[in-house]
Amino acid sequence: MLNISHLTKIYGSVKAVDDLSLRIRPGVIYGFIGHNGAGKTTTLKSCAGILNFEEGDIEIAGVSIKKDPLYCKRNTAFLPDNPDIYGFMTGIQFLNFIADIYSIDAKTRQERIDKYSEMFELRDSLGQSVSAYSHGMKQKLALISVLIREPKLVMMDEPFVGLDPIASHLLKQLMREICDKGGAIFFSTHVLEVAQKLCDEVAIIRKGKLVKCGSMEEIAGDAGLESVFLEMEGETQNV
Amino acid sequence: MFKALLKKQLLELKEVYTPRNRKSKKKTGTKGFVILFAILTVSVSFSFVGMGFLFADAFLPLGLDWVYFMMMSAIALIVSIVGSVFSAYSILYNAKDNEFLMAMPIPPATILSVRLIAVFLSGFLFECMALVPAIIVYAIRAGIKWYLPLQVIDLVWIGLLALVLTSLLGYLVGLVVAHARHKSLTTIVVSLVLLALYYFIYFRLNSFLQAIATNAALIGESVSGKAKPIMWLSQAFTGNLWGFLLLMVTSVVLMGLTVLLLSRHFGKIAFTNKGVKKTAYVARPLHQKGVASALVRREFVRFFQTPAYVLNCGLGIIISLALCVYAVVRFNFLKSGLESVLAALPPEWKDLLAFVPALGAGFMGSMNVITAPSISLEGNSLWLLKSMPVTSAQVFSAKQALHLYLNLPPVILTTALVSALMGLTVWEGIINVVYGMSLVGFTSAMGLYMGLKKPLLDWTNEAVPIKQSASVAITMFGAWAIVIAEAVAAYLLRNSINLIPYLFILPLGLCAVLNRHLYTRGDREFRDL
Repeated sequence: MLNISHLTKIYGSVKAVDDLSLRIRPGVIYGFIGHNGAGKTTTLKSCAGILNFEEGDIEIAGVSIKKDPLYCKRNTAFLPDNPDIYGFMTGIQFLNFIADIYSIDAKTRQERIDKYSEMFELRDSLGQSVSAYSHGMKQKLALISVLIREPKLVMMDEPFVGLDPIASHLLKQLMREICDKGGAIFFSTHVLEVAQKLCDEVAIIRKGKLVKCGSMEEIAGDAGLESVFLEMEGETQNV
Repeated sequence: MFKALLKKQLLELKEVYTPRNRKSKKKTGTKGFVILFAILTVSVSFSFVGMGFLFADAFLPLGLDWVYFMMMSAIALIVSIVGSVFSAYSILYNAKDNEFLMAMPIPPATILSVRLIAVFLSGFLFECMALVPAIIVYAIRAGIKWYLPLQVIDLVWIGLLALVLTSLLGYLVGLVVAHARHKSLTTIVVSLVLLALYYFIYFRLNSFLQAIATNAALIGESVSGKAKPIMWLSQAFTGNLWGFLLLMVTSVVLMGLTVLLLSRHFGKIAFTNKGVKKTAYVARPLHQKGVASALVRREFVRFFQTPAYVLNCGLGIIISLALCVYAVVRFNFLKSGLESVLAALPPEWKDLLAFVPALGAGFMGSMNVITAPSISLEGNSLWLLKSMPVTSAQVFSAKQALHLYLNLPPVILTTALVSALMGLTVWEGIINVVYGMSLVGFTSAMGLYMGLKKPLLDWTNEAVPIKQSASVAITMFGAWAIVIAEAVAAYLLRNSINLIPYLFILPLGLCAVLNRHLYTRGDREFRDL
């Protein structure tokens, strides 16, 4: 589904991502873990086609994002950690706009908007201006805009930040549903307990370099993901 | 604390005028922008020189030097208030970091004071455009006096008085908007009313000034008799030390009281949301649109939901349409008036004046730089466009479409109407319309090009990229430069009058060059933002 090979992204003289390679198969929830500034967001944004990168390639369903960015973007969705969405639109205007961009027909969009806005308890607020939304409401609206597209690959940066417990629970269920239908989820998180419970596979990144990746069993083992992560961090700092 | 906040505010101001190249993170085009800004300031100042001489010649021979400064200070106050009142509300109450700062242990008065300094600086610039020429004209007519340094210091006190009035007006706008249900519409209407008032005064200014000049002695007598404090305050400019102290104390005390008043209500205005009506969403049938029309619709929604955008980049449209309505209503009156003016001119001028409607419409159209702040307005939500399956060409087209849809009808209408009023032939009318359209096309391409070259995405207030960005200023002056160059070229070609219609090739050619860049290399530049 997603194949990152030798990705390198440089900001000025700093390598934010350094020769990173990952492979995410369909049906898999893939966690991406690392400290602040490790390069998680840069990697996710590169995969979403938001950032250009200097070296390497990213393929979505076998198509290079450099060669056909529109195809890749049509089949993926990205949710940032702090979704700044159009404050000048109402919630329904925003969802309708996204549905137009992704060519979702009128009947389907109506059904999906109804379904997800009710699920996340946002339906009553859809007529309000996005600028009047709280952070959590914006997060939910952005999430609904992702779900109505039914993308094959969903990339999310800290998706649980700002969501209430019910919405978090729903999101976890929906992530699994997407994967069960043959899609894939690639998301970053700092909440290691969530990652351990939710992810099928995990990658740990430090200072732009991939430190470890594999199935959750392989990485976390009996000690648990938190212990492994902290141990690795300690080792790296001692070196 | 105050120093740190002031530093932040000044840094914000500096970032606005010297945007960084987002890739290299280096400052770009600072010198050019400073030169352009200086040229504009000096040119506007020159318009006050004539006014200064008119008053100086009326009042100084009568020994009423203080009345001269009273009049010029009043004009400077008006200019300063009109120039900065529209930004006062947004700078004071609409900044994105209000909540962030209010969450810190900073008294609201301190936050407000720092924001007031930003408003003061913009108002002070406008004030100096009027009062500095007044001081120079005084020195020319009355000679350089020992109190020249006091006159220069007085600029600050008058600036503070202007700030008091500006911030109180901004406060009133804030109160109205905070309680309004339709905030965008209310802001637009309130601002248009203020603007209409300004133009009402402006159009009557000339006869008003003449009346003042002819009744100089009477005015001096009346003010010194009935409004002595105004006389004392005005004498601050004529070497009266008591007058100087009075002006200083008055402005400082009024400023202090204003800060006290505004800081008490700062939180209420900045964070109140009373106007937002929370009604349950009523579902209506949704319709599918194509990608291109969805993007254009997005631009329209943004434009009409952002009052600063409408008022700063669409004012020329409103004025053009108002003038069109006036021209239709008073068609015969205006036509006969214009015909008598044209009949009095030499024949070679008549041919040259056949070009005027397009230049006038072009000049008016150059005020509507809708595309110039368009890319900067994406701000932090730029990630949305970049993650969508849309090309940069589609994004650019939508931005240009908004500009063309809003600008072409008024320009075509105005040009055709003025051509009809001037009694031009159908062919001359067509040439004028085509020329007006080519200028609109040029402004659209130039605005987008500059927006791409000088993006300002890290703003804390949406008024900043609209009012203070380099892209807007350069586009507006660029369009003016083209119109002036065309007028000069037409004058030089007055003996080969048949060539003049071909002058529209210049803006059209430039438009083609800029569009070529946008739709080829612009793609990479947009992705690099």
